Amino acid sequence: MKFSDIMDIAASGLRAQRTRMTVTASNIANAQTTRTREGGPYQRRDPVFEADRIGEGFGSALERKIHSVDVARIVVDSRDPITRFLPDHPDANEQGYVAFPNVNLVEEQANLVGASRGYQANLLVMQKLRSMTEALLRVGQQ
Amino acid sequence: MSSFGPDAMGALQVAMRFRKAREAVIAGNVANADTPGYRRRDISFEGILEGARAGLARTHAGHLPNGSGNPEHARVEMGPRGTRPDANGVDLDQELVTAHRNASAFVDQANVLARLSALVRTAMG
Repeated sequence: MKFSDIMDIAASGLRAQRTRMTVTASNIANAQTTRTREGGPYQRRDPVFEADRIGEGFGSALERKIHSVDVARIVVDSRDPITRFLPDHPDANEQGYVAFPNVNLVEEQANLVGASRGYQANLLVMQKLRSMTEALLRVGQQ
Repeated sequence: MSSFGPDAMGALQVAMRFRKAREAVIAGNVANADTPGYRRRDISFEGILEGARAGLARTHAGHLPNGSGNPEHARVEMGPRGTRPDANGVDLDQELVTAHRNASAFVDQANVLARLSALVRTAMG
């Protein structure tokens, strides 16, 4: 297993956490969106992470046990929209109710903090790997 | 007196290969810190030397070499399922501490190796 392979594992973590942050940002941005191309209000989304095999499946016993991470899919949250009585709103129904996305800003903030922490953790692993390769280079230099 | 050169260098090499493999395992744990149902993995130094202690005979060329100290054949220990709602068993802080300690050990070993090779070169004149 090469150092660059280990770097790839940390990079997969960075990518996954960044995707999570993007999805959360989209949820926050669309917290008040009452119309979408598919019709109805925006529905909040969640990324689903999945442990992913590294290499091409021909690795050693150890390599088969180590997994990088991948975003398997982005699922749509099926929770019911929040309805509010706004008869003058262009998207109001006959009874005068408007369906708003079921986005909980506190929940999204918590997601953002979690994603940012996960990103930093993967970055820290990358720094550690760099100090290891630097130490290895010094062996040859002296 | 045994020579400080090849013996010590061989031992350092085994230790450093183990540290590198363990860093890869920890990197996998950190990357999967939010993967539902993921259990943390780890390898121990005892784990890679296990074959040597058991004194297994290698009776077939296809068998894995035992006691080689090769971390590629290490037994990977799986942690328990987590108590979080997504059943993830990774404690991010713990993993980062382990990653730091493990990387530091590797750096220390690399420094000793650098000193050793300088000694050998001096001895050779």
